[in-house]
Amino acid sequence: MIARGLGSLIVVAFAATAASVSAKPPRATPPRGGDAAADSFPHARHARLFTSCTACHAGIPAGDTATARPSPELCAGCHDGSLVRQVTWSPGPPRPTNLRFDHRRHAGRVPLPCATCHASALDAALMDVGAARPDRCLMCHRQGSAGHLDQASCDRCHVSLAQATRLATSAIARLPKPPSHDSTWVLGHPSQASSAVCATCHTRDFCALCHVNAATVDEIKNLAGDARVAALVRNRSATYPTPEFHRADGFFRAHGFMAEADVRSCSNCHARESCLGCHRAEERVAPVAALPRRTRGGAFGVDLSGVRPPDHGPDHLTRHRVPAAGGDATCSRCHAPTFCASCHDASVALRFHSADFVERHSEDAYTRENDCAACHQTEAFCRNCHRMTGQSRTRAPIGRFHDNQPLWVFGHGGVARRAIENCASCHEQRDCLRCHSASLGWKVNPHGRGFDPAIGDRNPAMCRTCHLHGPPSR
Amino acid sequence: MRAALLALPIVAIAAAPLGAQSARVRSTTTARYAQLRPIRYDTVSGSYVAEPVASATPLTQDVEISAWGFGVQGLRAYGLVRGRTALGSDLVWPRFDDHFDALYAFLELERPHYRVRAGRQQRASGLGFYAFDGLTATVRPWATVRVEGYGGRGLARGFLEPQNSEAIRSLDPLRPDKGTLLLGASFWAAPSAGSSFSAIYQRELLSDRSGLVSERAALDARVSVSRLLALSGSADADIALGAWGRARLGALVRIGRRSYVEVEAFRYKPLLDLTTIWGAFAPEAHRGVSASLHVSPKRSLALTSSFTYRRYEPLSSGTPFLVDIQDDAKQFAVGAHWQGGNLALDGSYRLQLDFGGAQSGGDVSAAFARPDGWRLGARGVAFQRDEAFRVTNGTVYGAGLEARGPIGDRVYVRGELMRYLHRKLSGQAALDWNQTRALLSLEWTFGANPDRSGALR
Repeated sequence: MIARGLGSLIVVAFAATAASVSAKPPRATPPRGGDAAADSFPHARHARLFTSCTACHAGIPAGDTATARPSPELCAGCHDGSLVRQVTWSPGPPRPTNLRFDHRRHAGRVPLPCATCHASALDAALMDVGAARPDRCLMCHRQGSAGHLDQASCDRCHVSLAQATRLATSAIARLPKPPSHDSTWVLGHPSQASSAVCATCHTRDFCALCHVNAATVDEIKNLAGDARVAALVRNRSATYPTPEFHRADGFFRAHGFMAEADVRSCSNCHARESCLGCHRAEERVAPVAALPRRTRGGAFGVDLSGVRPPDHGPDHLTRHRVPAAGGDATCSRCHAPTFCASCHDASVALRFHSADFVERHSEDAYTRENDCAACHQTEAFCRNCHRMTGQSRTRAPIGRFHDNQPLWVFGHGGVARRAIENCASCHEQRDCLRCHSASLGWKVNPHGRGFDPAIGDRNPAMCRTCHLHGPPSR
Repeated sequence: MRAALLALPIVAIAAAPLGAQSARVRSTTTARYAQLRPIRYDTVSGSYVAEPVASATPLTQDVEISAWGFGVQGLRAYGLVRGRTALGSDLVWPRFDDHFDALYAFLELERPHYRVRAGRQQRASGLGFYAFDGLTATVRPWATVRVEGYGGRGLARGFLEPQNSEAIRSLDPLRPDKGTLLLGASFWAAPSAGSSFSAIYQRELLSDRSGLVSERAALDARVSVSRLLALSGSADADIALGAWGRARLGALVRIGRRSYVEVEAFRYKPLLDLTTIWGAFAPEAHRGVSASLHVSPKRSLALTSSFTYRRYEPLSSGTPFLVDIQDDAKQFAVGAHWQGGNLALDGSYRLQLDFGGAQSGGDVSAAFARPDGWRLGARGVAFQRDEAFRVTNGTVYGAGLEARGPIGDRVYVRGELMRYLHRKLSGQAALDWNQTRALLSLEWTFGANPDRSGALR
């Protein structure tokens, strides 16, 4: 269908029989490509009247446009209303085309019979003619391949799309897609792109649909702009195929170095915002900064928002400790500090703990399901709140909490060693010193099994909290 | 110092005439409403009595600024500052008497093979979160190797004030009256695409160098044996005490693209600073194993389940007066998520038994979740708590509504309202959960949003 459409566009001016001859006003019908039967003038019915093409198209060999097509008076010679019915006819404007064609060179110096190009078939009868078809051109002008759309160059026969100003936007939309332009074509087209060839069907506006860097690529800059194409691509979104080497193992890790080495290649498809989807804090880094920004009306570039690194699987939320342990130089390539804080910062954490976590956090605290101290400061966070609600009281009578066991204190040591952080979430050190000080109180030894007195060497002040005159000599 | 930290990003922004190419700003305003019913010890009756229900309405304002383009390639100013206040609260919500914090405020120079960062920063590592005011230098000789050194004035772990700050000392006068210095170094390498290894060493000193606060190291490693099997492990050590702290070793087996099963053995022992006496009490480690299964036969359905078993050291000081203290703890959990069209259903149940008390609870929610990000839903919860170390036993039921979604390209709102009913109270005077809780959050972004899918441009 598209091929037929193109054929219609390269109809020679000679076949400008679009200026139809009919008893009624001409009806606008789309031209049908290269098919003699589609010729709006019934040449075959007039075969016995005209023995040569130049009888009506006398000006064609000489390039005289005034006599290239018959005059109305010539038709009226027969169609006078008495012999045969009257018709109205006048030559219309030449059919819009992007052909670079001159009849004088074919009918003059090289005297090709008109039927060579215009006969419906090589053995067709006289006057069984129509619009010339590309395959007839290729009988002489072939460049290796047999197919019209497989030719190595287009500009020998066609002017650039920008020069074909009379082609309507709808006709441009129907331009055929060469077989070479398959799904993988776009990945290799830079090596095959030359402005003269591409310009036959493309203008700068088409390239700018995908190329974020359209303004800096010579091949694209050399193409003319065109409002018709701009209208066609407006509001269209580009589809970016993934290059094979992007799928290779190790690409994710190496892509930064590749970008540093040749960021121009990246900028064909990637806007700076493509990178910022992951490298969210690194717009200032050279390869990222070298990419063009996404602009309104310009190419959107590959949209990588939502793309996750390969190691960010469904288990990553629970398993990110190891990569995070490398320090934020790892995570900050993609995440802003607020991203971590949105879970780990207790003051505004809206995601890490469930909504009613505070009501039932005690079990997690006892079992250390999460390491509370990794994010929370015991005194400022736990004790402060427990005091506010009355659950934490310094120097309170013994035994009312802790299951209301009045004699709890006499066996609390083992429990305390299991969960000393929980004790500290209510009790301050002075509470313990009421009994456990070596210098004051009841002088109860709190050091459990496995206690190493050598820790006093690291910070003697800790020992002097209980041993006011220093720890006993070992 | 605060003023200087705040000034860093402000100066950077104000220097726009120098040629700043761009800046990003994100503002998050979060208002919450919570009811609480404090309890008070009545010295006359010798028991606890419940106070009237009081409310708190804390308001948090976060502003994140990132600006770059000051004429030096790779230079950036970053700040994340937080303001807090209370809107007519009966209670002083924790930390809301401190109206300003600079969570981050630094200048950073990023080049392909190194990075230098100066100012207030937080560091996440195998040792947890540490904040400090100082300098970090990172060298990346290759993409798969990174060496880092950092140091400066230390801030209390999980807190943005020095160790000797009044905020902490008011809660524990025996805390040292000196600040701390923090020094550390880390190494990270990724020998293959699915494997990485990191090691960190960190030392905290009292600022007058009269004593050590902590000296710790951590190792983390993850190895992808195949596409289906990944092994990971981590351990940290308290060098000051010459003791191992936490450790874990896990294996994860992927089943298809969205499903996996994981088993893990772990040990937990807290790392405690030498500035308190807690470490001298010789805390004991507990050990355990866990297994979890995440099955997602299709994108719209996910099922999860897990089991954890913990074993504690036998009590070393048991007495006839201490009863019903278990030596182990078990935890079960199951959950499900289903999404069909715009309807999303979630449910979960969790049961914890033995040491630390018992609790069972579940959540269900149904939401209308549109592809454009809007979500309107209803939620119900119920949980029951019992046994050891409880102020109050009983069953709590809750129901509420939630709504969240974008308004235009740059504004995101979120609201929640929950009402809890506490029933079957038993035990002492109630610290009950008959209360209403609400949250309203408004996020506004200018410039590219660093951490939202479909980032704004």
